Amino acid sequence: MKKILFMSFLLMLTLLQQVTAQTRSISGRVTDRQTGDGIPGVTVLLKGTNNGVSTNSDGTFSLSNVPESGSVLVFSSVGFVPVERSVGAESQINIGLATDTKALSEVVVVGYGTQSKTLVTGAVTSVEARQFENQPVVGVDQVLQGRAAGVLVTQSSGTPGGGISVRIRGNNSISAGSDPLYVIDGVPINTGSYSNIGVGNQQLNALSDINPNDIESIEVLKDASAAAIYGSRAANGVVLVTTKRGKAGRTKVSFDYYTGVQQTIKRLDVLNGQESQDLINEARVNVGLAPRYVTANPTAAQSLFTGASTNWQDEIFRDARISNYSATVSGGDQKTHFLVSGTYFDQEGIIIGSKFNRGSGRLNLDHSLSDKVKVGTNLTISRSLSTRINNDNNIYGVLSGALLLGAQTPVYNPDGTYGRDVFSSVENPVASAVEPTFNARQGRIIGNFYAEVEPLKNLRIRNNIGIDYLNLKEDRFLPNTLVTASASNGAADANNRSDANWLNELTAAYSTTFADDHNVSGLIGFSAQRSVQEGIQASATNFPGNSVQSLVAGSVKVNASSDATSWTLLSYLARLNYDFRGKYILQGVVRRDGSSRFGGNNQYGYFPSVSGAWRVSEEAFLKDNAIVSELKLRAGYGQTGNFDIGNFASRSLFGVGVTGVPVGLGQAIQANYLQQAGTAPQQLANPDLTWEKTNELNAGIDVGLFDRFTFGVNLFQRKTNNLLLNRQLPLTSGFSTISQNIGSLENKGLEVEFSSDNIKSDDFSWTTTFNISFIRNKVTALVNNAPFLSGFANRVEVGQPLGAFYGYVVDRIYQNQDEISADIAMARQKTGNANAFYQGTSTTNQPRPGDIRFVDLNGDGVVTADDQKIIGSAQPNYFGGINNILSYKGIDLSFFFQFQQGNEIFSNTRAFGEGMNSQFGQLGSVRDRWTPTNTDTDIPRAAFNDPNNNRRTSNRFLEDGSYARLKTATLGYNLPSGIVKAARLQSARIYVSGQNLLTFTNYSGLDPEINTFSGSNTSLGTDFLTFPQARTFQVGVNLGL
Amino acid sequence: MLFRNKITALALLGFLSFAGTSCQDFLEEEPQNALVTDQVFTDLAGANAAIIGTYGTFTSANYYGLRYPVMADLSADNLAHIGTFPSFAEIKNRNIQPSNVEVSNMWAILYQGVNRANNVIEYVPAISSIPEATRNSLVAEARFLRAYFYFDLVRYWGDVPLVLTATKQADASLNVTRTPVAEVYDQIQKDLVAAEAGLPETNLGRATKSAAIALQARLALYRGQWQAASDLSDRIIASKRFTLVPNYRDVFDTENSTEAIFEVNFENTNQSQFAFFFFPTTRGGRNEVSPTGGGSTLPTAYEAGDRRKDASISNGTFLAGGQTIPAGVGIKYTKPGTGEDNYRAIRYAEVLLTSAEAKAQLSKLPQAIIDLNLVRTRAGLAGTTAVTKEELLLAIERERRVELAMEGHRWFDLARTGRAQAVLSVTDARRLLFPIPFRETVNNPNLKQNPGY
Repeated sequence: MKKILFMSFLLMLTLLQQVTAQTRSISGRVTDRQTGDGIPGVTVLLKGTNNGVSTNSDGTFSLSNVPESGSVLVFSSVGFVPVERSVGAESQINIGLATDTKALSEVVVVGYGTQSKTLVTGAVTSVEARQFENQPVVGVDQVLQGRAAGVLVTQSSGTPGGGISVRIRGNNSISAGSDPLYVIDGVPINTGSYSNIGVGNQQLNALSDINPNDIESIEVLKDASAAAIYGSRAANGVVLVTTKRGKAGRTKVSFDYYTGVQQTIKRLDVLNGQESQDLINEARVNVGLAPRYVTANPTAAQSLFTGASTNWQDEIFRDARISNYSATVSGGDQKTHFLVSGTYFDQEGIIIGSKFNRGSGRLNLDHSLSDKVKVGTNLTISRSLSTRINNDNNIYGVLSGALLLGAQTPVYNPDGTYGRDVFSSVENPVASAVEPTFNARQGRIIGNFYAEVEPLKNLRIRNNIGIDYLNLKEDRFLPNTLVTASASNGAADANNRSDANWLNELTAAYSTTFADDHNVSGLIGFSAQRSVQEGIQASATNFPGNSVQSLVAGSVKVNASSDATSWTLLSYLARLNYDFRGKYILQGVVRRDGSSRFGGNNQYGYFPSVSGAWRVSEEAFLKDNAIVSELKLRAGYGQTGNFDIGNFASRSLFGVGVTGVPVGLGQAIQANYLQQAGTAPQQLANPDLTWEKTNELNAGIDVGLFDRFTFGVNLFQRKTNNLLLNRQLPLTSGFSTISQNIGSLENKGLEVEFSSDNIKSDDFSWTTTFNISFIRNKVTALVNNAPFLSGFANRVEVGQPLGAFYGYVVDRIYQNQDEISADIAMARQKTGNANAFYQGTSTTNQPRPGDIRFVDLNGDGVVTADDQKIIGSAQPNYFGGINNILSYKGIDLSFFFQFQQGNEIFSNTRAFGEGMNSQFGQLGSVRDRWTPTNTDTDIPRAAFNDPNNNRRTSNRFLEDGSYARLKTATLGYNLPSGIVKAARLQSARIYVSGQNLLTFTNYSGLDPEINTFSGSNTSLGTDFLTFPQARTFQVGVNLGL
Repeated sequence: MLFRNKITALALLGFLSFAGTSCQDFLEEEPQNALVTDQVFTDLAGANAAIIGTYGTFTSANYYGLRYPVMADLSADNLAHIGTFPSFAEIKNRNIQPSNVEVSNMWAILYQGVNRANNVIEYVPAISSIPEATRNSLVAEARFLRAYFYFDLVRYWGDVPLVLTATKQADASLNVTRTPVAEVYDQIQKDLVAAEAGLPETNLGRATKSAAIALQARLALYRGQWQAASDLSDRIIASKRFTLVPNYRDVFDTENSTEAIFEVNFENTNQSQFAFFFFPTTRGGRNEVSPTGGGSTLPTAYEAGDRRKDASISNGTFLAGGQTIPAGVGIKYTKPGTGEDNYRAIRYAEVLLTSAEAKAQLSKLPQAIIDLNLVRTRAGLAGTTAVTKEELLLAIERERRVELAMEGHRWFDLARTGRAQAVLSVTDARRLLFPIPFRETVNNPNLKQNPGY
């Protein structure tokens, strides 16, 4: 590797040598006549010769060897009306180009370069800053939600700074990563959760370090022809984030501030203290146990009625602050452009004890050493503090406690200690929220340094060195006031984890035109990337008190450990584009990736793609047509890969000491004994391990009508083979799984994007953008095609989508003993077994009137594990969003809906909250439970320990999860220029904004946009005491100086 | 022009040499948290680590860290389920689904242990740098452990696959079939006899000759080989290496006491979960199981004056960690915070009761009564009043129940003596075996489910 670095260094030196000036040359700048911004990539040609250059990214150019007189320069660029200009004696020519309104003129970022949107052949969605700027969005992933067709974004909880799942064109993997590759200004970054301290299911989100205010545009490369340039990491799609840059001219200064309040959208109806105790008594008496609560003379296993009635939700939910401060300064001159920005974001969670804040700074700098050489950097530094709480699948969770600890428990005892239920293992939720410390401090540096040289006309060689350095320090302290730490006199963990990811890449791009009509451009490149992750963890118990929380105070050091892991990727890439007069367009891409992660037999792979487009609107018969302003047909095919499988999955390994389950492979090991170090087999070798391969066919059409409406439709079929599956091994082997390339699945879909300038006048404008996606996911092959369970109720099965739910089917509630006896008689007759039962296996677990009768699906007379089937799916039939932006004089209004339809949610919250089988707080719905006097109901009887297993996974807890949500609405007002000038400002806007203002859903839980298994590929659509999202109201100002 | 060409040439040259740097080394990353397998069995340190790792199997919460013993009391009448885990409730209600996670996890850890032991047995003899005596001793320990794991497999599941070689690759050879119990028992016997020869007399927390003999005695008892069971227990008794500690409570307050024949040791760095699952939340536990509550009749099983009752179930005055433990809570394990409670896998009192039972079965009633009364006397009780063989066997059954309560014996005792159906009202005799984990029958076409599931 040293050799690469050295060569790269030499090369940089070469590039940085300035090119001295030639004889007569003409320089200048080409700008957009409307905006005044420099236009990059404009061809400046000396008419009648081959002598020409392209403008730099700021629009400047310098053309040498221009004859002393009589020459004419031709300025041309896609999307602009070409201009010819005769040259006199001047050596400086500045010129403005008018946009060619007939063209879809934007430039889009396509990976290692940009392309005119008209020439794009793949499926690329751009989300520009204007769609979300001045909106209080928190992260990059949130920006994508509902704004890009084919991109399903699920905010799995309302945890501040928490994980968000982004799935481009469906779920493409089962056991490898399903997150897209994020590339920030050319640097592919690390994503996912680096947390080592479990607080339940919700994860941290490494993407939360990017400040959305800095983003200029986001491009989503969806299909293989667009994404193949990223090879073995592109199968889940690629998200390219481009940050804002300074422009030559006046220095712009802006301040943005908003503040607001967040509150719960909804709370659940639960039993009060008396009802809760009555229910527990009833449940116990129903199964022959003594009541738990009595009015006098309690036994050791009983208690007096408590008299308390705590509304736990009122205790833990709050109205929470959210604020953001940011400042940006940008500007520059001919040679140097800069942008610096800083931001501070501060958010409390709507559950007490949770908050997130982040400060970040950015410097983007470009400098032209000469007209041939340019250097620059994009750099962002951020630090965040995430204060988390126990959540989700965790009896010490805050929301979990609030719903599962009955109202009969007081918040505090008379002596000031926390109230607890002696019959329950659930912690007091106020104690869970307030007492422990869970701090995660994350520092992050993401950036690149580049040098670009143009040694020949239209040949650009660029060296890009990128870094993504992440450091996460987590501290947990559990004081002795908590149940979990009372016996250990306080417990603390500290975890430090860093990931240093560097990238060195070199690209050369060349473009030229033959015979006036044939435009050819090409790109070749080389890239080397390495990521090294290191961690240190330590824990201690037995603290002298709760004041000093550092491990130094813990007298028993329970654990100390460090670890390290790494991966490398070595890549070669090439792209060739050709078009004939912008009418017939072809693109070919190939990337070769080699990775340390894969088995010796398969270390390198090729990822090719081809695509083409026909711009019918450029044909004579449509050119200058008054109705059809654009008509383009596109098609592409390509192969991409997914290398996200864990670093050493192909090796035969012995684990050491006590190790948890390594990510996605192998097994947990406990190998120490008698305080001596041990080793044990952890993983079987698979030298054939290779990439997941996705082949994708995409066909699309882009239509522009009346210069006002644009339609984009994409049809795709994506087949993923060699799916990395942890093939379950017979446990008798001593191993539970091995990673193999076995499975396959398929996603196909239709995406429609539509935008309309409904009204476009000087005073009033109204634009609407709309997108909708229909994606069908299907598992087509598994290990032995054997289905397996995942999460609480999901099942992965061939022919079904990922996220399918599997369980029993409720028939009805048994009303009397005769019905039960009749079933038993039938069971004995059908099975010929005189001891058979319809439900349950022995006399001790027979149903009683009020219990649920489940359907004997296979008709064999008894309800067994075989009487389960696919009962629903977490995959929506369709999803999308609709955004409206209106402005009238100084007033602007935008409102943005997102929706999804046809997905189910499995509410494990209800399985617990309506179980009536244990010492848990219960939902208000159980007031309608079956009793001999309330028989017309679908809620079964209360029965302690649930002998009939009424709570088994069944369609009882499955609900329609469709929803439509007013995600954001903003009303702004630009102060009149008189006032603004008087205040010595350039511009001033005030606005009010809201998020999650309206939600239309039939889902009974706290929030339909939820998944307790944050980040999972196979356990989807499950609600289990998950931190809900908040409704937010904000006011803000945008000031320009 | 010349200059420009030079720059171009240099740039292109640089580009090409950079891109052409084919560094295979760059793709060679080595794991830093684990060992590549061929680095393990190379020297004594590696062999030692591998045998320690085999013992480490015991420390799993799915094995002797909690579940294996607890389920044997829970599925019988010694423990009630008062907590939240549905998987525990299924076992309590003996309505176990084949997908029950506790059942799968216990099965999984036992076979992990088998594979760890098989690795030692297979690879250690070839490490020539280790003295032969040391090699033999290591292999003897591994065979003891393998026997232990198989015995514990048979007890819950009956016929189980008998795997005697280290797993090397994922191929069809992993699709093993079930071996009849008798053959598994024969292999266990073979391993124990071989182990006994190579094991040391003493080795704290690890396998010893006595442990191998005591386990053979237990095996013989399960097989109904009364004479062998009697002889083997007599060997332990005659060795005078072990004594009953005078105060029953001291068995649980003293680690590795004179009564311990094989005791799995836990420390705060390698914790057991018993106390955490037994203790109420206010005492740092999670209140999952208790000898008091629905489905447990343990508190009523003690005779009046039995000192073992207050030493096993809190009467409300018992102190742990300076706090009183509420009445009704199981207190054989008392350290929920540090998890240092050892698991008494084989102790002398069990050997005495094994001896008593074997002798009663052989109709040597007076000798049986002597051994039984040793245990009763320590508990502060008068000699047994049983007279006939049948009465004596029932008395021994009850004695085992209270003496070894919450130590993972009750279910197996009732199952092996054929008394489970009567005592626990199990209507379907097929439910005396746990189901083979669902995923096993799915992943291995040769593995058939136990009937009735």
